[in-house]
Amino acid sequence: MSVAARNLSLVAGALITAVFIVVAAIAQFWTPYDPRILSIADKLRPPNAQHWFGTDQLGRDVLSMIMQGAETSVGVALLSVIIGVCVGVPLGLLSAARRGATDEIVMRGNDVIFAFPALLLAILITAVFGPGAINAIIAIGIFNIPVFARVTRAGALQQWTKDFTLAARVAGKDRLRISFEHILPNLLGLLVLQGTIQFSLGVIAEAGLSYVGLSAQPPTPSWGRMLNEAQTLTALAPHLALFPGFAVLLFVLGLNLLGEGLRRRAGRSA
Amino acid sequence: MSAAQLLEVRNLSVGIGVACILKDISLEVRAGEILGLVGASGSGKSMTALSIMRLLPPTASCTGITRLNGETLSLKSEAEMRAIRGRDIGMVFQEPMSALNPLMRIGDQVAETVRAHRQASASEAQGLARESLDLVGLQGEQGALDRLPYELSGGQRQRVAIAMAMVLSPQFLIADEPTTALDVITQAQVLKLLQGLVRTRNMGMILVTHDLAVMAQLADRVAVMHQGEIVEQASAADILRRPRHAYSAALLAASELQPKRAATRQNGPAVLQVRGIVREYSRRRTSLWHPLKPLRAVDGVSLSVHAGETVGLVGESGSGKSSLLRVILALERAQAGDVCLLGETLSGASGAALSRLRRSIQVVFQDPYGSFDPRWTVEQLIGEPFFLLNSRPSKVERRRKVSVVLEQVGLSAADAKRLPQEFSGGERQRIAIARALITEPAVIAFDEAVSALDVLIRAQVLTLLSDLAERLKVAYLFVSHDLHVIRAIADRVYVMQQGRIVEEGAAAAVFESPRHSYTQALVAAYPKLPVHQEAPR
Repeated sequence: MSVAARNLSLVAGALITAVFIVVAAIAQFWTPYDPRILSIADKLRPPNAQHWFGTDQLGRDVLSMIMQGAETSVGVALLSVIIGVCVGVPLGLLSAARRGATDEIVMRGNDVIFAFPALLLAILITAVFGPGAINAIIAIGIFNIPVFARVTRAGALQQWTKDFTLAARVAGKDRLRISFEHILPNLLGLLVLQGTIQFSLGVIAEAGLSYVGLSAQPPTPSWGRMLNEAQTLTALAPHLALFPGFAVLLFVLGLNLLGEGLRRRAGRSA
Repeated sequence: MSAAQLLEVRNLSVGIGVACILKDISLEVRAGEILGLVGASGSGKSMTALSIMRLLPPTASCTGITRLNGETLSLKSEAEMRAIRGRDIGMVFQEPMSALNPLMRIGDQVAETVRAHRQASASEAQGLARESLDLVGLQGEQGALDRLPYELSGGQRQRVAIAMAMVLSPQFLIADEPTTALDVITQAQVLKLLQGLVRTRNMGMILVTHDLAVMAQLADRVAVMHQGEIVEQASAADILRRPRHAYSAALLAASELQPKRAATRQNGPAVLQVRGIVREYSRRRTSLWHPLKPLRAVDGVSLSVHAGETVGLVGESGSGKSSLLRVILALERAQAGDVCLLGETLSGASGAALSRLRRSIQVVFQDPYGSFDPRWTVEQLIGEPFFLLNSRPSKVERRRKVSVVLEQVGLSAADAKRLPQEFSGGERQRIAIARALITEPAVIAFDEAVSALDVLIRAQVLTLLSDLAERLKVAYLFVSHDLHVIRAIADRVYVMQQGRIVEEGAAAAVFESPRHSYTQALVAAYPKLPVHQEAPR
């Protein structure tokens, strides 16, 4: 594939992702209408000049709900990636640095977490703490931990075979310090890439959890719940399902393109 | 032109993009003749071999004419070339492991070549494979057709690769660094085999190598390549005696490392003393009832290095040199024995004592590419051992010290800000030496430190090392498989075989009158340049 085509997926992906993140940021301060205000008189309007994306069965502005839904989506996905990185990366580094029993314990622990689907974990957490965005973040975040731990460990093991780790040990540094000074900086590209992938999986997972009512609770808008509520009205008002559906689709597509672009770029520089 | 001319290359030029890789190469090989293609890495030797086979990457553009036995290869279609490769031209590569399919029995691999080229029954192909393996000296048990590549040694694998190249009795053989990955003794056997095949079957051969001594042993004629051009082409004897081109002369001079003169000064006190080191590696259990005996890589080794002295440690790969070095550097723990540095025990030391001792022993590794973190600047890399000091010097002081060592190794202070990728292999080894010098150690260990370098660069680095030893009075423990290099730099030598020291003594004595049978075999097998009689003494 040509250099231009490679850049295309990177540029397009970065652009789409940036648009969603900017929209989510704007939604913090401003939306065309307040999505919490009901106006039954205006219910189920198709897209028009006042309401670009139409209104739902309670007369709320769909565009405003999508914007705040983006906020929920980005927030949940981002925070769960941060949980995964903050716990998984040190675990992976530790595993690769110590090997032996530590490695075995950490990696088998990861296998156990991997065995639980994120949804099951979310239901479990919900059963204990009740539903909410925070619990969705924790559930998806826990699911991210072993992913980052494995990627970090695999990358770190490869870095440990290089002579510069020996040179650093001859310079008196212990394995922990070498892990942070030499190994981690060389894994940044890999981790950014994995972060993008986990981010897009996080968006899907958030939509899935809120669809079944396990993420953000009303009145906080979220794409998954919008889809759920639109389900019974698809014949009457198809726009209610189309807009949140496309939002999820486009955002995930953008993130995947970005990840693919990053992966190609890493492959070229390696 | 004689009628027996087998291969003819006329005005071959190859470019990739705007870069010109080969410029106007012309050469010819007669039947029964071996043409040596020598040059530094990147000089275009392998590219020449690949363009004869028409195996260049698709982005390369190629002009010129190649004829094999009167047939013009450059005009053939890809399908015709596929038939020619293997049948008319055989090829042997450097890496014997990657040239073989690890999951296929060696008999099948050789037979596959046969069946790819002609209609042959399975048993017929197996028969040919058997003959071919016999030819390369893999008879009986060691060359049984049903063995897998991993069961064979490096030399045996290279023999299989040669058998694959020979099975269809090609008229021409291209060998690209066929012995570079092999041990000295194996190398001698494989070279003898190749030479025998060419002579008895009246084949032509191009031997690509960076090693002039290998060339001197095998080639009839030599073409010296430099930056994509053939700078000189003459008979092997002529090139070795009277090189006409300046580059060939430089290459020859760099290959003929002068043996170090015996040290006249008295030895100082021992700075490094190694006693009875045993290093074992546990092996993976394969049976519940019979645990495997651990692999004993180093078996009771004792040695000493005195102040200001250069000690060579020679041995083939797998002889335990690297394991020993790791124990000496306190990177691994030995099962028995101890290492004393400046009278203090290094093995088992920890914390502040270990840091203090580590200042006195530093190391230079083999791989000029892997020994630096690609994200650190030269200044940070060289300054890394400052970590060993109790009070780390100020930024200004660090910078000053780094520029001092950079100048000591022949680089400039301005290089401190650059990244290691911006330097060539030889310059990187200089940076590694600078890093080893920064703590003013008493001993520097070198692990095959010049093995990855081209001959010209190698000679320069060795000269630098001798100078530094002289000026800074630092002792070296120089580990290498290369007898020439050890001979050129060491005052005293230890010879290691299968984890044990089998011989030690002054370098001159060990190399000129080796006592142990292994040392004798090693010295005898080592390819030598014929003595340069006309050189002024």
